[in-house]
Amino acid sequence: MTTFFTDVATILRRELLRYRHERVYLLGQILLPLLAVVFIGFPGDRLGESVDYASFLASGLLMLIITSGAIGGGYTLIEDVQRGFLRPILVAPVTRTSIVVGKILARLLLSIFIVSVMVLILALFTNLKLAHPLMALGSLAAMTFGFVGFGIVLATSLRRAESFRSVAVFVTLPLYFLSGMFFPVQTLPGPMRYVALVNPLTYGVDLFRYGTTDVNEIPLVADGLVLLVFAVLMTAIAARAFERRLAG
Amino acid sequence: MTETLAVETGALVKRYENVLALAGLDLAIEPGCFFGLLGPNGAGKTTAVSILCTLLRPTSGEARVFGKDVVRERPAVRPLLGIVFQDPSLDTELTGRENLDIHARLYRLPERAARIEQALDMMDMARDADRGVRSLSGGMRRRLEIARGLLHGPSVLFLDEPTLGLDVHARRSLWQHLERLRDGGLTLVLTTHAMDEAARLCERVAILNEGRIVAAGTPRELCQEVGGDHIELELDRPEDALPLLRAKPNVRDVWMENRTVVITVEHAPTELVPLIETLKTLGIHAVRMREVNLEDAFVHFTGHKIDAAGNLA
Ligand SMILES: Nc1ncnc2c1ncn2[C@@H]1O[C@H](COP(=O)(O)OP(=O)(O)OP(=O)(O)O)[C@@H](O)[C@H]1O
Ligand SMILES: [Mg+2]
Repeated sequence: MTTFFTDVATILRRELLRYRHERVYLLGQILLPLLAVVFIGFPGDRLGESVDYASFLASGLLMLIITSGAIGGGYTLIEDVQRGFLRPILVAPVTRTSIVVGKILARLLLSIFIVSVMVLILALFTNLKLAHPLMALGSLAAMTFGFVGFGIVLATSLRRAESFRSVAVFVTLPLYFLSGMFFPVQTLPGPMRYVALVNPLTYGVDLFRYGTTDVNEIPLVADGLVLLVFAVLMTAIAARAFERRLAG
Repeated sequence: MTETLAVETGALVKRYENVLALAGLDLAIEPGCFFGLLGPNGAGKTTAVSILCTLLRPTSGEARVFGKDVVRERPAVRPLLGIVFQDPSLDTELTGRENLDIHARLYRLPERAARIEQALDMMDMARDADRGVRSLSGGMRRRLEIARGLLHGPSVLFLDEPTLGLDVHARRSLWQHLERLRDGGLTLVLTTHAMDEAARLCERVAILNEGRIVAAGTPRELCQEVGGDHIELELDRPEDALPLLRAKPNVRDVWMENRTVVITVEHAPTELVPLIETLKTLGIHAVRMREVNLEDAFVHFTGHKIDAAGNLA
């Protein structure tokens, strides 16, 4: 078990050393959602009668960035393997699970960084704030583990890049729209609401929104339980898929 | 009791979608041997190395490293392996030292700093260790990769075409570095299509062609198996010599290399005078004799000529 954590730390260290040179990428990760909030959030705010649509949407968009980034991260991991970038790590005596977990943790640190910077900036002109930092963090962690795992599973079952992209869009768009990201789940028409309630993202968005705006529509215990199960399950499935798909 | 072999494969087959890359490979490599796996492009060398390094699952057959099965006992095999891949695999965003440090951690080595220093010294890379890999020359990167491959003290080191793309000096210096490893008891598996490299470094070689071993032994044995001597002649009218020579019963083979006529005979000292007698009207400028070398053997066994880039001609 200690070797597992040592290995995870090593993978994480390698990723962080590589991020040093990715400043432009990091800037893009921050600027994009910022623009989205400015261009969608404020006009939307004026249209809707809800009190504070800008901060509602801002927290939802942050979650969108985090989950789509996580799915992309899972995909990139498999792509790197197929291109042979990870061979030196794959021949080393480390378990595939520690590689997956190390990669996810690196992604999580990146997400925390992006979210912190974004919340600080957005706090200047919306009501976004770190109301419950630990709750926001918990949601970030669960979403990152769960959706990197999801990206890995998707990428290992689809061979070519084009099919990954179209399937990813096909699968993720309904996932995003039926998650309370853009509109409260309560406002969704009946059947869609049920879909939203089996969508793990709904619980991630809800907990994250509670963490950053102090508003939520689902009991926090339910959020916590669903997210825990989702994160653990997806990571385990992803680690297995990774192990089996490799050395094909 | 027989000693455990360093590398052993039995009827190893690897089939990609529609390519049979390995068609029943049988290898036996003794511990401590510098072994050369030779073959033209596409022969299956990298495929064989990838399977032995646990990165690729064979379609059928068996492969063992120091008695451990590379499919079923992967966790036990991995610490024994060192590998330098055919194409570059350093993290270019990191410095050389950082690359080695990550590697040392992946193998959970104690006394990392000292070991890294030692490995860098051995490959003459200590001076440039803190430069970003992106800024290093191809030869330096190669030396760094070898330093990395050796860092954890593997029992068997796989080098997949280590001198590809290196200049003459870099190649020779790399060979010297590798020579120094011979006394350490390391087993080396070197794939190459550079015959001078194999002749220089390897005690035993196997020639792989289209996924099969077509010849194996010491370089000398392989040359002897092919047998004969080569006589090279520079002539005024080499074209006219070919039909004359082909008609002679003692000439085994004859071809042109860059306007030089090359003749294979059983025993050059006895054949030379009659040959010159036959050709003296064609204007002889130079005559050279040499024994069959590994490259001749390679051509003989693979049925191809190879150029410097390893392409079949
Ligand atoms: N991933 C792959 N998918 C399909 N075919 C492959 C794959 N990798 C290798 N091959 C095929 O398998 C055969 C053996 O390839 P391999 O790379 O093992 O040759 P090699 O001896 O290393 O050649 P080279 O000297 O060019 O490195 C070739 O015909 C190659 O086209
Ligand atoms: Mg190769």
